[in-house]
This record gives sequence, C-alpha cells and structure tokens, in this order.
Amino acid sequence: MNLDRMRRHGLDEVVDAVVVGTGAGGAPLLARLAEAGLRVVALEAGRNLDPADFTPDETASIDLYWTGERLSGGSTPEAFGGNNSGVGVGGSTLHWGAFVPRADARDLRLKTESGVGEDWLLTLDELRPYYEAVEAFIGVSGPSSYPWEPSRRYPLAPVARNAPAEVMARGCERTGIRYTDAPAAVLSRPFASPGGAERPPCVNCGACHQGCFNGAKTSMDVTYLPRAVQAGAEIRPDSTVHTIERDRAGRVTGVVYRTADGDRRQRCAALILCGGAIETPRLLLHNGLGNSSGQVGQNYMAHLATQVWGFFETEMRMNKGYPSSLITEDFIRPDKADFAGGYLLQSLGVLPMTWANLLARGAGLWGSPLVEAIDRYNYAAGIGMNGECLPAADNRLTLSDEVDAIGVPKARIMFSQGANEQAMDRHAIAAMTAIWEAAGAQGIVSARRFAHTIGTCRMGRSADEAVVDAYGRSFDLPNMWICDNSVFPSSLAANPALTIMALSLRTADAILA
Amino acid sequence: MPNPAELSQKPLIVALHFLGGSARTWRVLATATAEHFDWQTLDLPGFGEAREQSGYSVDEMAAVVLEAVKAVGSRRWFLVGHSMGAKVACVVARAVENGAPRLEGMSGLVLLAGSPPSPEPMTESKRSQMLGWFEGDAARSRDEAHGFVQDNVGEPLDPHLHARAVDDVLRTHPAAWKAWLTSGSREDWSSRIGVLGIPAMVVAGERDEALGAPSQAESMLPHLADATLHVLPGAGHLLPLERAEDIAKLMIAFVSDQPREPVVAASYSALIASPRVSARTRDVLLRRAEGPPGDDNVLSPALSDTLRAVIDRVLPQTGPHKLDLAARLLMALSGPQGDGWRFASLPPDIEALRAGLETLDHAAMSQHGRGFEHLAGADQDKLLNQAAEGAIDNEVLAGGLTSSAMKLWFEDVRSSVTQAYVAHPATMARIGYSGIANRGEPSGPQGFVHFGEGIREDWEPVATRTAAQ
Ligand SMILES: Cc1cc2nc3c(=O)[nH]c(=O)nc-3n(C[C@H](O)[C@H](O)[C@H](O)COP(=O)(O)OP(=O)(O)OC[C@H]3O[C@@H](n4cnc5c(N)ncnc54)[C@H](O)[C@@H]3O)c2cc1C
Ligand code: SF4
Repeated sequence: MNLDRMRRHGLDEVVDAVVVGTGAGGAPLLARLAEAGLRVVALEAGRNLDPADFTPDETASIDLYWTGERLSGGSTPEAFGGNNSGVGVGGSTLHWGAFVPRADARDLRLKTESGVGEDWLLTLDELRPYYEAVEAFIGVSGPSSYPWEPSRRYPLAPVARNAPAEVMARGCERTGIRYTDAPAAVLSRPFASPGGAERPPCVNCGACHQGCFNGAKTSMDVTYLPRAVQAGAEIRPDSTVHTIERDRAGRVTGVVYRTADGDRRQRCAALILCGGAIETPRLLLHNGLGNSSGQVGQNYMAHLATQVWGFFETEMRMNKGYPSSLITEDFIRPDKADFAGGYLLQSLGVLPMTWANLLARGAGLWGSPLVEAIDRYNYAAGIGMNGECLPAADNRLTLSDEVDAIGVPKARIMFSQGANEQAMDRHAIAAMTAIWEAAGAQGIVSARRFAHTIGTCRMGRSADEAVVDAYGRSFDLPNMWICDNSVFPSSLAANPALTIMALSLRTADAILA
Repeated sequence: MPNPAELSQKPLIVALHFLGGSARTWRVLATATAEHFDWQTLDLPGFGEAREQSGYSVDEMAAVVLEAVKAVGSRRWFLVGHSMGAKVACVVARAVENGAPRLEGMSGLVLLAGSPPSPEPMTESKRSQMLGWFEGDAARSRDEAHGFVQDNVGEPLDPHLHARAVDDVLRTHPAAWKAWLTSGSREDWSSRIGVLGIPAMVVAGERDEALGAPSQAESMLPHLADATLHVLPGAGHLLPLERAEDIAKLMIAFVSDQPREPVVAASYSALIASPRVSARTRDVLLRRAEGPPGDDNVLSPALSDTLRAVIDRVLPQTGPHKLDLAARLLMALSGPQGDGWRFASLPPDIEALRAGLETLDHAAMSQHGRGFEHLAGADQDKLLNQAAEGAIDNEVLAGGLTSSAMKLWFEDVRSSVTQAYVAHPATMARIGYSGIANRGEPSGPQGFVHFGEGIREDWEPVATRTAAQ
C-alpha cells in the first residue's frame, strides 16, 4: 500500500500507542485510534507489498507467509506457514479466504450449554454492532436473507457461485440441507469504504489465497490501513519487535524492534500486541511478561478443517471464481451429535499445489493413486468444515531451545485433537460425504486438516484464569493490550477473522474510553 | 540379485552386438563411457555366453531383449545396436513405441552400421562364401574368423582386440551364424517397423561397403523420424571395436542432448507467453521450466539414490521424460527460506531427510538384506506403507528415526515431492490448469468470465492426460 505521505513519528517521541502487527487484529484499531486523534505507530515484521506484484503461482506467493520456523508437535500437529500464518502489511488477511461468517450465539455460551469448552464474557448482542460496523466498512457480500438469522442484512449482493458451490448446492438440495451464498469479504460491485478509494469488484480469478491483485478482496492494506494512514497513523514495515521495555512501576515504556539497519527503540504510552496467536504469546514468554496467570501459551486451539473431495464427470475447473462461495450452518448444532459444539461447511475450490499437498499429507495418497488424482484436478470439487475445537490443557505453546535469526526462541506448539474433535470429525466427514454422493461425485476422499491459530492469551474475568480482560487489556500490565486471535477463550465454529476485526474495534473503544 | 544397472541413476545403455560378436564387443566403449552410463550388454541367442541358446529369428532375438530389459522399469535408457543388433534394436523400439509394458523410459536409439529393417544388402557370392565357413578343422575356422574380422575393419585392430573378436566369432554357434545369413538378414520388417519416432543416432563407417553411409541413408533413415547420421572417416564395419572413442563422444553428446524432463507442450508455452499471464508469473514459470538445479551434493550419492528410489514410488512418472523431483526437493529444503514450520519430533529439514533415508535403508537391509533402492517395487511399497503406518521398527540404528517420527517423515516427503511435481509447468499443462492465466497484464484480460459446472472458456487449456473417471 502507499505509505509515501504518511505521518512519521520520532523514536524519542512517546507515541500514544504502538501496535505490533497489522493483520485482522491490529488494523481496525489502528484506524480507530488514529481517527480519534491518537499518535499511533504500527510495527510490522513483514514487507509492504504491492498487490500488482501478487502472482497466482503457489510457490512464488510464499512471500505472503510467515516462514520463520515453528515446531509443531502433539498427536495431530498442525501445519503453519501457508496454511494459516501471514506476514506483511496486512498480516494474514493478505492471503486469507475472506469467508466471513459471524459467530453463533450458542458458541459464545458453549460451557453453559454443554458443560465443556468456555463461555465468552460477551454476548452476540454486544458483538453484533461491531460485526455490522466491520461488514459495512470493508464491504461484505452475502445473501439477502441469511437462513440461520433471517434478520441479518449484508451490504452487498452475493458474489457468483463457482462450480464447487453449484454442485454442493445440488447435493444439499437432495439431502435436505439448507445452504446459501457465503458471506464473503469480497466485492460483488464497485465499493468504497467511507473516506476510502473505490475498489473494483471481484473478477473471479480464484487466487484469493495468493493475494488479491485488484483490491476486490478485503485485506487490511486496502481497507483499515489506508484509513489509518489517512487519519495520521504511521506503519513501519520490516520491523520485528523482540523486546518489551518497562519502568519500575511495571508499565510498558517502549519496544525494541529489529530492522535491516539493526535495532530501533520506540517509546510509547500504550502497547497493543496484534501479532497473532503464535507470535504474541511467543513475544510475551520471551520477555517474561503478562503471565501471572500462567495462561500465556495455554489452550492453543485449531479449527477442525477436514475436507472431503469428490470427482465429477463434468469439469469443475475449481481454480475459477471466488473459492468458497457456498455455506451451510445446519451443522452448528447437528442432530444426533455425540459431541459438544458444532461446525459449518463451505464449498471449496483450491489451487492445484495446495490441493495435491493436502491429498498427499491429509489423505495419505501416494503412488499412482496420487498421480491419478492430480490428473483429475479439473474434475474435483471440495467441501470443507470449520469446526469447534475445545480448549485443552495439553495443547499449548512454549518456547523451544532453538532460536531464530534474531535470537528469539522458536515457538513449539503441541496440539492433539481430543475425543470431542474426533467425534465431530467423523460426523462432518459423513455429512460431507453424503452431500457429495447426492451430488453425483465419484472417488470421494477425505483429508484431515486443521486451520487457524487460536487461543494462547485468553480473555477472562481475572488474572487467576486469564491473560487479558474482556476488552483485551492485560491484567498484569495496565498499559498493554492484546487484540488478535490469541484472546479467544474458545474457538467458535465460525472462521475467526471477522470476529477478530469486531473485537479490534471494541478494544479500540475500550482504549479510548 | 537385481541387475547392477538398477543401482544407479546414470542412463542405462542396452547394447546388442553384430553377427559374430558378443557382450564383449562393447567392453572398450563401456569402459570409456563408464562415468556417464551404465551398460547392460547382451549375448544374443547363439552368441558369446549364450552360444547354446536357440531362437535365432529377429523376432525371437527381440523377445530375448525385451525380457532382459524388463527390470529397467521407468528408468531412462537407450538402446544401441550394431549391424545385426541394430535390426533387432529397431524391432524392440517398435515394441516400446507400441507400449511394451514398463519400458517407457527408452529415450533414444543408437544404430551403428545397422542392418536395416528391410532385407540386408548382401551379394549372393558373399552370403554363400560366409555360409561355407566354420565347417573345416579348428585351424581353418580360425583363419576364416581372422579373415572375417580383417575384412570388416577400415584399419587393422589392436592385436588384443583383434584376437578377442576372432574368439567371439569362433564362439558363435554355427546354427546361429547360418540362420542370420539365410533368413534373419533377409527378413523384411520394413512395414512392421514403419517410422520410429524415438530420437535416433545413426553411425556409419566410411569404408563399410555394404552398410556404409549411402546404405544407411537409403534403407535406415526412412524408418526414423528424428535421426542424425554420422560418418566415421576411415572406419569399416566393426565400429564399436574400431572406433570406441569416437562413438563414446558421439553417444555422450547424443544422450545429453535428449531432454530429461518433460517439455512443456507448445500450446501451454504459448499460453505462458500470452498477455493473460502476468510478467512475474511468466518469469517464475519459465525459470522453473528451465530445468533442475545442478547436483549440490546435499546428500551422499548413496542417500541420493535412495531418495530417488523413494520418489519413484511416491510419485511415479512414466515416459522417457521425468522431472528431477529429487533435485528440486533438495533445492527447496536446503534453500535459505523454510516453509514456516516443521514437526517438533523431527530434526531440521535436511537432517531429517538424511536420517529418514538412512532409517529406511536400514529397515530394507534388515528385512531383505539389501538397501531400499535395490528392492523390487512391491517390496519398496511395503516398506513405505510401514513407514506410513508408523510400523518401521528401529531400535538399532544410531541416529535413526523412531517409528512415529518415520510416519511424519514420510508425510513430509510425500508433501515435498508432490509440491515439486505440481509446481512444474509441464504438470500444469498435463492437467490442463488455467489458473496461471487469470491475472494478465493490465492491458490483457483479467480473471474469468465463464465458470461453473462444465464450463470452459475457449482459450483454457485442456488436459493432455485426462484420466477418465
Ligand atoms: C490461507 C488462509 C486462509 C484463511 N481464510 C480465512 C477465512 O476465509 N476466513 C477467516 O475468518 N479467516 C481466515 N483465515 C484466518 C485469518 O486470516 C486469521 O485468523 C486472521 O488474519 C488472524 O488475525 P491476527 O490479527 O490474529 O493475525 P494476523 O492477521 O496473522 O496478523 C499478525 C501480524 O503481526 C505481524 N507480527 C507478528 N509478530 C510480530 C512481531 N514480533 N513484530 C512485528 N510484527 C509482528 C505479522 O507479520 C502479521 O502481519 C485464513 C488464514 C489463512 C492463512
Ligand atoms: S477471486 Fe476475486 S477476490 Fe479473490 S483474488 Fe481474485 S479478484 Fe480478488
């Protein structure tokens, strides 16, 4: 994005707030704080990219991924990098899928409902205005009436369905499952955020995960960040924060970050950590901060994201069109469930390398079955789940003995799916398979996968049980806040980014209050 | 024991000798090219060590060759035939082009002073003279053999070579000798062989009377769609004996000229060049198609062979042209940029790769008494299945991986191999992938207009290899 004319702040200047990370958690609050007249500086580890350089080539677009090494353990280790972790001005939203369901009210009260998981300290009614504000600002496309919340309205008409969405709709029709056009942070017509430049509509190129080249897909660098810069925020790319400094009273006084020219120190009155659910706890553990609860790094969660693939007689050419244009929320609380919580389903078009990699890893294919499946790429269509993952004591992030290039210990993440997840996975595979069978698919194959990075700095009532309060403020350091996927006390079935953006606006309100 | 030629990844040369020759005919040439090729030199029925074997017709000889090379599998190999052996080679090449199972790795044909598919030009007086040989006593036969070798060379051979050639002629079973002269050389295969598409190199001796350059041009070249003819000045008919060094040079050049990797189909290359593809994407794809990086010795030769053997099972490629996935995988793993994570129970990527290959080899040794790459495909698959199931027991090997680590290791290998394969434009062309051409230059078309079930825009590539349902 264009940073040429942004306001700049001196290193000695005690700015009102430093925001670490410019993704879904960092960008909305950066804009809101700047709009309120605060002097804010965002430090972003990644580069400032030009969308015109984005390539649909899956190997070359690795420059959008966080490639600092993480160690993944447990009985069901999660893949990081391109699977869920972005870098650059805009964070993971540069290559996210822009599929933006809202949280279901029941998921926010899972513990009350089922006795397991966690309740959130906020209700859907409290979140709704923030959802609406985000959707209106970034321009979310969706159906005119949402089957699972008929009063909900989306600012833009839905984006076109691609082939996998069409066949999934047919399968749902035949199995009596409700479905609709997915809520997508992708423009179905030209649109400008309040005060922003007009963005063109989606041209169906299908390569959202490699970065949208024309701005039709919401990423922070075409929505909240230009707004922030317009309002006076400064964004410093290529700046990796490694040290948080405090005074005797225990207040944060500034941060030290690594640039190509060595270390820099920025002084600040408040610090807001938005590095995501791996980097935020890693930074805190490395600095030995904010952890009187012992909860930093704990309760790491990843969504169940198993996919089921079918092959059709007609060509799908699933690389065309917005990739996830159909949704069903019929399984948020499914019948005959032998598990707590639930999942949603989305149709899937995936580019060949990501897809073949999933078949090789998650479906265990190799030899001629693998080659034959790859040969049938143009005939394949997928359905993917996004399912609740319960917090568990054994699933956590710690620091390993290995250090990265700037001397910070690498994160080690232990993740093992539990009985609830296994039961849900089975249920979802059966449901997805039934849809594909009804749609006429052959050679159905399921591939286990996990998505997103959630938890590790949970919000809660007190320092006994949580790292931050319901607004993201640290219990230990009064001028430190956290706003990213790490504050989630439970995973929710919904994909996370919309909720993160909503929380970001809410945290900004709390900081300004 | 498996054929020793299976043990390495050098191209394999399968060689068929002339009338009166044997596997030994190739000794000097094979030694001169040992750094470049592995050789599998055959004794055709009635010759050399196969003196007592019968079945002298061209058909039967070709069957012997097809049987002998069965174990080549999908390896890259070249077939060389000299004189009589060249005719047999053409018949084998025809069988391969017609789809002889498991031999699709054949990458070229080298025909030295070849006897053509049509009846060999030979005067009746010469034929009856040769038919009269080897009927008298030993001394006379030796004289005849001596004369035969001498008459067929441009310049006298080195005495050792000459003596060995004479011995070979004398080892020939008289029935085989006669059979070639009376029928084999007269069999007409020209219409059955038709035109071979395989790249070929034809070599003729300037002083070869019957099968020199004019004869090759007239009777051999019309059967070859893609051939070059070389004439060796001063050489006679027994080229591998007379001119091993010249032929070695020609063969090394010929083999290295044949593409190893699949060539991106012309229509797909045209798409890459079109304004539908952005400059950066085009650049990335063209660089990737240029070929694999050189060998950077990340692995020892032995482990590198094991890796290649594993890759052949994980992602079997058929046809003479194979992507060098091993080189690409090693480049990705040893490059400066990782992919953002690794399994916590595995050491860093390259170290893990080594340890896993060693563990696999070790398991192969203990189960079969041989390293992984020397096992039959089915046994290799069995071991890999054990790895996938976490069932490779490894309590003994120091520095080896545990069974559960092997499971993750094999997952990583599957993943890296698959990614290297799919990333290549030749694979994209093969599956008919249009997604490279979705964001052209600002001037060019961008995105897709027509999509949905069964909808292809008319410019979109079609799979060159669509496996039916
Ligand atoms: C391929 C993919 C598809 C996805 N699809 C969807 C989807 O369809 N819907 C959905 O809701 N979610 C999706 N997600 C998830 C979504 O993108 C994330 O949940 C969301 O962006 C997380 O926001 P965050 O603020 O926690 O972190 P991020 O958006 O990851 O932002 C963190 C930022 O902080 C920076 N940073 C980290 N550490 C430091 C440091 N020490 N110093 C300076 N900067 C630092 C990082 O570089 C990064 O830019 C997807 C993710 C991926 C990768
Ligand atoms: S499909 Fe649409 S939203 Fe996605 S990258 Fe292409 S143009 Fe952008």
